[in-house]
Amino acid sequence: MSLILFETSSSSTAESLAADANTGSLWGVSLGTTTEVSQYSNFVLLELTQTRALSLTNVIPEGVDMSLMDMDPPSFTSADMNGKVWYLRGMS
Amino acid sequence: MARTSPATTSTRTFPTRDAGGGGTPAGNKWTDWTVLPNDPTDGWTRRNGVYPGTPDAQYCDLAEDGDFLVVDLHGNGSKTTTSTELRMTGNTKKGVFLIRDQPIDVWAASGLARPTGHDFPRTHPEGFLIKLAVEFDTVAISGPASSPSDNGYGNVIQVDAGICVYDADQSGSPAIPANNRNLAGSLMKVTGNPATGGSSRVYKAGYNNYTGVSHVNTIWKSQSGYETTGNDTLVWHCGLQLPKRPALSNYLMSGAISSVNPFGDAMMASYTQSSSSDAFLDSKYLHFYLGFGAFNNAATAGQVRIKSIRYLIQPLVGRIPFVAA
Repeated sequence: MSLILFETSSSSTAESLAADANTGSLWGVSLGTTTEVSQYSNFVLLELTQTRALSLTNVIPEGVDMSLMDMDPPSFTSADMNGKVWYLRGMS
Repeated sequence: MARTSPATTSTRTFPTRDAGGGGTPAGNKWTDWTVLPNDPTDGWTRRNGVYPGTPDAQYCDLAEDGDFLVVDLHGNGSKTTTSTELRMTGNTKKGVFLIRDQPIDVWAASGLARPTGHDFPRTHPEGFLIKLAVEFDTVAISGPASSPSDNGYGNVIQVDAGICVYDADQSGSPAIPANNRNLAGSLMKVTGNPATGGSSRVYKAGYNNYTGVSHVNTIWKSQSGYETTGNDTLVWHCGLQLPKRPALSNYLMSGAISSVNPFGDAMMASYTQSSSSDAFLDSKYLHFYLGFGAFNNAATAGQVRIKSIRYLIQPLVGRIPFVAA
């Protein structure tokens, strides 16, 4: 699975983007049923297949920035301590 | 028992600084930049990305034009008959790679004897900081030479600068790297006319590796009002310690800086390279490279103008003393 982090101009825009992604489609790209979506402030994180991630990068609209795309994110085991902390913090 | 200190009036002499760089015990403690040629045929090997069925010359011209290395990506222009994809992100390695013929030897480049048991080509990030810097013309990336406004003035055209990694000696003719074997700083044209636009999103800079890509906004010196403060250089840094736990990894940082505003902000993204996919330190051959292509499949054409390419390998004394070669 891959990760994409989008940054928008406002939290309301991020909420709208996340809502669209949760419907299973974003900017015309099907996200299937396995894509995970999370949003905080003006950031939206998608966990999705690499094919879908690359498809999304072709159609990012004006006003949305792709801050990061990770095609091979580390597992919890191989993550450094900062990664482990942020992973566990998100579960609280 | 009383202690006496030397009088503050005692004279001290400082050794005269040696001319030139080197980083050897007999020379300066720093290393100067080494300039690489702008002529794409001088010590560089051109490799075309994975683009089945399309001969390379049809979609990209590389040439030294005066003081500049000029790269013209035609994309869907007159020289191609099929749709063109220049994407250099993710597992897609298209566009064009310009790779130095010879691998990096950090010890030899620094005039230092290679320690016993640390055979070539092994690098040692604890002992060497490696930088690669690409300074651009005033307008770094725009539309193609034939029509600079085409493709939105070169939107999503991207330049990468970093290293290709090989398991075997390339014998002076490096191949295009495997999917998980290139690590680079990256500059991307995003939107607007770079010669006049004042937006903070005209260019973005950061890194582009097989495993990921990250860019941050950067103001360029071609933009109105930023002629003396805007950035003009893409720089890639590699170095620091090599931690073993939880996984063998190394720290990389890259992005945009200004060559004329040396204490201005650096717009950077950082990346921890780990052994899970692209470790490059144990007996790997490292070659500096430049990549010319695009962030996604939407780019059709563009032009890149490079003023200078230079690298630096700075020895940092570690757990054993350096010995001159």
